[in-house]
Amino acid sequence: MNDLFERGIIDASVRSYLEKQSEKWQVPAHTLLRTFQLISPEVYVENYSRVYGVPRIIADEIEWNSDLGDKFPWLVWVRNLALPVITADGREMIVSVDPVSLEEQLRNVRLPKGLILEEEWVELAGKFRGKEFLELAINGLWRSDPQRSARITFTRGQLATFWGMGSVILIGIAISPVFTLTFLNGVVNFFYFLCTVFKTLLVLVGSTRNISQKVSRAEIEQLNSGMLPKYTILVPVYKEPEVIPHLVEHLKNLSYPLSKLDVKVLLEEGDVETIRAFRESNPPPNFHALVVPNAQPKTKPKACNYGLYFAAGEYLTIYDAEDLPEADQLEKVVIAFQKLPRNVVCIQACLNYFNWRENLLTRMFTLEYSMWFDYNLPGMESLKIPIPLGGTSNHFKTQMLRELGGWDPFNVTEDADLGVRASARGLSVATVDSTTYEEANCRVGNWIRQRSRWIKGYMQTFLVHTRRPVELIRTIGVRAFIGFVLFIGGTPFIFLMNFLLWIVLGIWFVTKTDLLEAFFPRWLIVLAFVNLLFGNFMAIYTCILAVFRRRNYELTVYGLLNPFYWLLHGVAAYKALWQLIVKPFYWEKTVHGLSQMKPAGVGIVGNEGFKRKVSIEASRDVRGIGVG
Amino acid sequence: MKGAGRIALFLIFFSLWAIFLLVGQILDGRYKFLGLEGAVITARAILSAEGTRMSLVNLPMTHPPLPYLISVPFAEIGLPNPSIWVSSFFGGVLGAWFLYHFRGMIAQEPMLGLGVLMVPLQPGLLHSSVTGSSTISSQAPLAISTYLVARFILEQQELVRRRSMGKVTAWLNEEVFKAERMRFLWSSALLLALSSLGRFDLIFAFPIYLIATPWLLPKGERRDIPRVLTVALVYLFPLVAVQVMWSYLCWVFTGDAFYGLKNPSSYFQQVGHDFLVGALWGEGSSKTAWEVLEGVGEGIFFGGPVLLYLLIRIGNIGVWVVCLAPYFIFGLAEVIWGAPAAREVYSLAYLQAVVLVFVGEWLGILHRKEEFFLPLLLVIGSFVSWYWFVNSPVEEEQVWKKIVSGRSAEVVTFSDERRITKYLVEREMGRDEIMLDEVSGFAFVTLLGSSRMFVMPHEKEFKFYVKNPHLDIKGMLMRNPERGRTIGLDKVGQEWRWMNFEQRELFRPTFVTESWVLYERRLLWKGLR
Repeated sequence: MNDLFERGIIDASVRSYLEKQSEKWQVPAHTLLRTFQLISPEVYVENYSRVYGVPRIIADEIEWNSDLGDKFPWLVWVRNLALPVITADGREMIVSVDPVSLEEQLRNVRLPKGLILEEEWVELAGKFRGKEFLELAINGLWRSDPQRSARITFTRGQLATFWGMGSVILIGIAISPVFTLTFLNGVVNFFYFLCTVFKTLLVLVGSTRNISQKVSRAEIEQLNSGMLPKYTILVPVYKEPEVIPHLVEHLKNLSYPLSKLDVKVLLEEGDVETIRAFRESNPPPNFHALVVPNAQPKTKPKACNYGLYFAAGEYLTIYDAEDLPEADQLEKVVIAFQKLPRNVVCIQACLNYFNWRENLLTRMFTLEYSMWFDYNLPGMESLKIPIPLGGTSNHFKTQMLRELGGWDPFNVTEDADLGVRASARGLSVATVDSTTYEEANCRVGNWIRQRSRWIKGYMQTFLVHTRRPVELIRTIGVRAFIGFVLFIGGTPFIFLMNFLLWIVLGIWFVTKTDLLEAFFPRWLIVLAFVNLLFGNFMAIYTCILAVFRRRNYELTVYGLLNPFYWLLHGVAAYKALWQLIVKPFYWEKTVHGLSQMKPAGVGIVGNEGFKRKVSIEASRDVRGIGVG
Repeated sequence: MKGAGRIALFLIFFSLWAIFLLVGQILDGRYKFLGLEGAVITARAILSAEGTRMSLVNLPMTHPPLPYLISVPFAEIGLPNPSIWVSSFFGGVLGAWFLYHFRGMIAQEPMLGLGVLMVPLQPGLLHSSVTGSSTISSQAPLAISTYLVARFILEQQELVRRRSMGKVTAWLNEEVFKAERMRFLWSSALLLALSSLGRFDLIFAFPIYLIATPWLLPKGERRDIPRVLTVALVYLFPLVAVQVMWSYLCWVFTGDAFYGLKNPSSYFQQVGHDFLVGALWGEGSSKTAWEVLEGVGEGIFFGGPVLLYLLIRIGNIGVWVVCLAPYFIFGLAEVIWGAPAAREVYSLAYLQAVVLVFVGEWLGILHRKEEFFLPLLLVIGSFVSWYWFVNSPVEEEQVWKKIVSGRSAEVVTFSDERRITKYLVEREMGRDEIMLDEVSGFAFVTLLGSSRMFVMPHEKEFKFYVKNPHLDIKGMLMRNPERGRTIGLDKVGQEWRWMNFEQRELFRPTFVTESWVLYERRLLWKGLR
């Protein structure tokens, strides 16, 4: 760095800042030059080679050295951003982004070291090991534990059970239609009642609890940023070139030491526009474009699994491209992990929407999300029920995530599945008081596509984890199992049945037919009315309560419209059911960037200055956690 | 709540339930005393349990549904006096909640325990708990609701005060505090709604609660309109929703959402006609507004003498309104009835006084001296309310004076009905042999513990039989018009009070009492010979 200063490439103020920052973050000052993009890659490489005497290696001319590669776990190479290679002239060598800072075990290898750029490392790693990792990303879980994979939607046992039940029902209808249909009606209403009571209980319990892990400002300020571990952020993006500039800015705005971020933007091979958009966005060098080779299924979990093989961080999180996490979220998670028991594998941050004012749909969606993250999840945590993770902002201990087998690439709500799988292994999930703001779906068609995928994923998750119910009960306990059945199974069930029962009610309203009386004996009509009246009342009331934590009082009155919102759920649920049968792994893509309300993340980095700030266009709408 | 705590809570609850139930059954068995409303609810529950199909009369659309609905399972399993099982249940819940919820503060300030110990012995609560009245099912949730909403109001106010003094951090974590307050508000709202299922007319206090909403919030937040509306919605939506549900059920089963109001056997029709308009214009009542106000004030004063002191002492408009709104309803009922309200309803004042003492103590509002003399005043007030209660002008409450003073070994209620029931049992009447309108003759169903003997207006056959009783009916039971009794809603009496010669040939009065007359068929109809 002194060399650069003497040559006039950086001025005294920058040098002073870098020295200070280097000491604070406990990272070499020269790496900060690149992190903050203060000098061009060419100048950096030239200077590095000259100062440390390490030759620059041309990436196109090297091949993978499998003998040396196998001597160390792959993670060692990932952590060091290094690779064992054979050059064009047949020399064995270790190339790395920062050869002088290699871990001792690699430093001790008596081979020459060479210098490459970070983007070259990502490209080479993909080239050398990509196919192998892709195979593992797709079939890893299936091979290690086929019963926990959604690759087979219905197992033989499940098909036999459904077939048996269907046959009994058909025979029953043939012999005694009234009794059979009344019995079915009773079962449906009884399960509906249980689900309603359970969901009410969740919200009521959740409303009495605060987010379990609260991290104060003082705790963050006391944090020694030099001790902070490397943090991987996976961002799966597909055909979303327009959100890439925002994505890069949002991630830059995180207050976590930039040089300790290991950002992997997961791009699909063939998605040329997004790949180009990413490269044009001039990201910091530790924001890597990881191109996932083309293969089926084309799902987010497959991409994430692939990214997991390149993750260097001790912790790992997933953000969607349009996500706007609160700036100190990663620090909060690190502190929370330190405070929580060791068996906590994941911390879920809250999700909410920045464009809630856009239209009726976004308002309803925001209410639903507020209820989900501010009430349901704390309620589930209190009642020790497996928490189905949210799609983004779930923060993992990377090693434990690997041991869990990563995500199921065949499950379209891989996050929910992973939460349950973690519980089944005796691990737990917690929540933290930090929010990531997303873009709420503002168009009905797009909303139905997204929701049908979520509901289908819940169906898949339910089918997967009930294959060995006794084992699941033994692992997570009876209470958690009941919670799992009522929540994961109950959610699609309620959406499906709502529609059906409302149709029955509608027929009765219009025709006032006596025919239905035969299927509603006295006890059942009472239960049906309880479901209709109590169920709808609680659905509306809990929706009204949802505004309190975030003080979105303008949304309160929209809670009254909740039953109409349920109609959309019904449509999505039937679409999900249909797709579960005909194309179970199909990933209904949610289109992002439709909102007219854009979040503006402003990060002032590089030689303009080093302070960070987050300003959100709608900051008046986005308030911190709080009640009252 | 830990294991031992749970056991203690259940023990207190079951003990109180058992005691109230025992007293109620003894009153019926030994003193031949049955509460009027208890008898109605029991009859309805029995009708529902024995009904073969859904019928309006068997649904809670004509009377407050909460005690009725809980009575039905007791009637299903054939327990005697289901309404007493329910009222004693609520009495047990209320007593246990007070004793258990305030145990911490009682341990610190044993004097406060005196006030709580008197709760289950409050005359009005004791009366409604042991007689099957719906009052207790309304007042138990209402009292707890008042406590919760008072905490919501006062603790927020206290937070603002302490925040201005810079004491918040030393006192409580603000976020935990706020989450707790929210719980108070919605719990209170749900209990208020539950209470209205025990006393329908509470819905008429809705405008009062609505106007009071800004005062549920601290001073600085009252102009935040979205916030005020949100609090209003959270607090009052359940109250409105349960009434809408009730109307919806009426509409489904009768095609008229307000059938419950219009039905001759409905609570409102029994209370009076055009009650709301009447109440507003002072019609239908011989009492002046001032007299009613005086009566309500007297009720609050004697029911819970400390309440007024506490309301003035706390000086919060929100607390005033939520505490006093139910008394508006009591006054309204008095205007409608034109008769003095039952004194049992004013026991609410005692409960409110107790909860406000505890809220005051919790927030540190009360001075040291008040911590001493307020519990004493509660106890003294409790005795005063006993004196006031036993001197009630309400007929049913007057019998308590006899029981409490031990001046009578037997305080028979429904004496005529008891004699006729005994006769019917001796006559071994079979199924569907007597025609009876249970709207006025509910006591027969209650006393018999069954409706099987009767053909009643809610049954399809009734319309035919009431015109042709000679075809298949052995007897008709109706109000006795010849002894000056009004027929009122009695459909059998309306049809058959004046019989012609031929009809008298067929039906002869075989058992006549002051209130009732039983006609029995003595000849077969000639046309059938």
